[in-house]
Amino acid sequence: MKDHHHPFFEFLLLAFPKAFRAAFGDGMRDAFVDAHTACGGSRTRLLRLWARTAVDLTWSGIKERRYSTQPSGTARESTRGWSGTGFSLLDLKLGLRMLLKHPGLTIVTMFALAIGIPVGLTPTHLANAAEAPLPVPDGNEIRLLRYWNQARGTSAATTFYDFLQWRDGLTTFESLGAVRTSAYNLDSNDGLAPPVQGAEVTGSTFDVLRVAPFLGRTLAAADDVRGAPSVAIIGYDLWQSRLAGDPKIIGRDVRIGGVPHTIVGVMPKGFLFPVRHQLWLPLRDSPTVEPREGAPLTVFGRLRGPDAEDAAQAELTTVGSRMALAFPQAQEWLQPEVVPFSYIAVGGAPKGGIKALPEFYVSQILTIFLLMVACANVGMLIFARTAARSGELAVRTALGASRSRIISQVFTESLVKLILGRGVGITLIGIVVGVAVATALARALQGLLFQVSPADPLVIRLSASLLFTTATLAAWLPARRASRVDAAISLRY
Amino acid sequence: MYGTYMYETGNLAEIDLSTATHKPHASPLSATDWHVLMALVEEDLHGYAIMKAVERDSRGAVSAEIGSLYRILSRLMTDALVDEVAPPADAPTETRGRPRRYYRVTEEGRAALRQEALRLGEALELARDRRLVPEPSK
Repeated sequence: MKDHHHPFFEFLLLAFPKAFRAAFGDGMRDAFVDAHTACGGSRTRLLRLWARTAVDLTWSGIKERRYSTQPSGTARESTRGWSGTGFSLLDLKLGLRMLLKHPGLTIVTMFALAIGIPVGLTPTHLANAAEAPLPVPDGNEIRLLRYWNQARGTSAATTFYDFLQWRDGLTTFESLGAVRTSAYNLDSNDGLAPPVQGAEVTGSTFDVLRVAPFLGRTLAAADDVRGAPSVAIIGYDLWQSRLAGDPKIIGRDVRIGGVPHTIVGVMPKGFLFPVRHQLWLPLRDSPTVEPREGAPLTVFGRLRGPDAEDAAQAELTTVGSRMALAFPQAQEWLQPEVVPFSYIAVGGAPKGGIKALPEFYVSQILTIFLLMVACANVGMLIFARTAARSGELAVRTALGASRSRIISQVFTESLVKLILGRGVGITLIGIVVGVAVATALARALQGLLFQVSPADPLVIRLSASLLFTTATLAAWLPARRASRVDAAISLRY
Repeated sequence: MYGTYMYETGNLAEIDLSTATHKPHASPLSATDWHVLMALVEEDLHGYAIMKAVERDSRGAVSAEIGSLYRILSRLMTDALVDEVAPPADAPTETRGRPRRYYRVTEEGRAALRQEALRLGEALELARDRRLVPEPSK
């Protein structure tokens, strides 16, 4: 690890009081760098180190804070047993006991958070997924070229004519390709011919993507010529599932849409382009096509470097103006734009992406509202539960429990309840609901976009911090209230 | 010089503190404290080296994570059992723009370790007397 000021480690250090950080922060950082280096790049060991460190720093920090606010001369707690990890086992035990004693409250809490948080984060998750680069070498250099209809505020179709003009007129792109998706009947002599999601692509497509074939070759410019032999490239999964992984597949003829095609290449496992497609045929439109005529297609290209987007947009605007002058009726309202490739899945989004859509803000507000309602409900339930226990808390106070002890107990009980609500808890329903919601979201995203991981780290971090904040607030308020119980009054009545 | 040492259990034990020059530590050491202090007996060490030494000496039975270790060091320093010292002359050159922090067990720390060792020795003797553990092979 080159940078020993790891942001997450620094964040964890905040659990300790400032004075402690000033005295020991550097030493702790050095120790973590050493421990990190000792993991030798093993993901499993790193994961274990992070998990251990996160738990240890959090609890040690809380303990240290508690100790530092006590009057001077107070003995620190023994490090026996859990040897200084600072975890309050008693509080945790009481929390778990409460969960089992009040299953109704537990289930409601878990439902509120297991559904509220994943659903609430969906718009952010989708927006981030929609802006992720293509998972190909230097995928962040690949951009979509499209028209934006300024009059209607939507995207407009591009055609083969636009592709030709842009390909010949743009120098800020290393290469340009075009793709038109469709469904094809693939007759592979297995008696089945369900449609396969595929695409017609220009030979340059594979130059833009820089992905080598698993077997055979990819398409080339010579395949784009009308009258050239009918060839096809297939995806790995299609090769395995419909063509039995035939090792002699290269050169074999299959009927696609009733026409014999020779398979000349198999792409590597996981390659799905442009979205979830795995059959590619040459795109052979007539080079003499007129503007705004012919079937729509998608144009994309590889920038000369990831920072060339502004230059590319300027050049595209110039070329677009020239085309608009030549064909004013056809091009007048159309503004050519360079946008991230992932917009292929959200064609109607403006240039700022999903996050620039008013609908996104509305959904964010609704999300926050939904979460607030969920948190308020949870808070009320815990609050009511705590109020009903004033007698028990009064007894604890009368027996000598300090105010901080009562706060600690109620706080940990509530925190345990809320954190278990994320879907990893002891109640099966909580687990089932949490997992079902998460899986449904993951599947929906995978279906939408080519290989975009549903486990977006940003969303996981957001989800964790949201959960923590919610849990802390909903646990802290009743805990403070509980600590104000007057033992004399509560016990008398 | 002889000192009287009262354990938490209320038992009294006479311990030879003739080599100690300071007041002894007032209670039995926890396993982690014992291993942290023991790690520093032979040489001054920095935090990560202490963590590794604790793990090695206890054969994995005791592990001090970063936060816990530094809380223990802080407490042991408050109790004057451990001191922070300058890095040894042969310590590797640092690239982090500052010297590493090394720790050394103080005389009080050594006295506390001696007390604890004696206490453990007596406990072992007692266990042998009651035949809970076998006599050492000669």
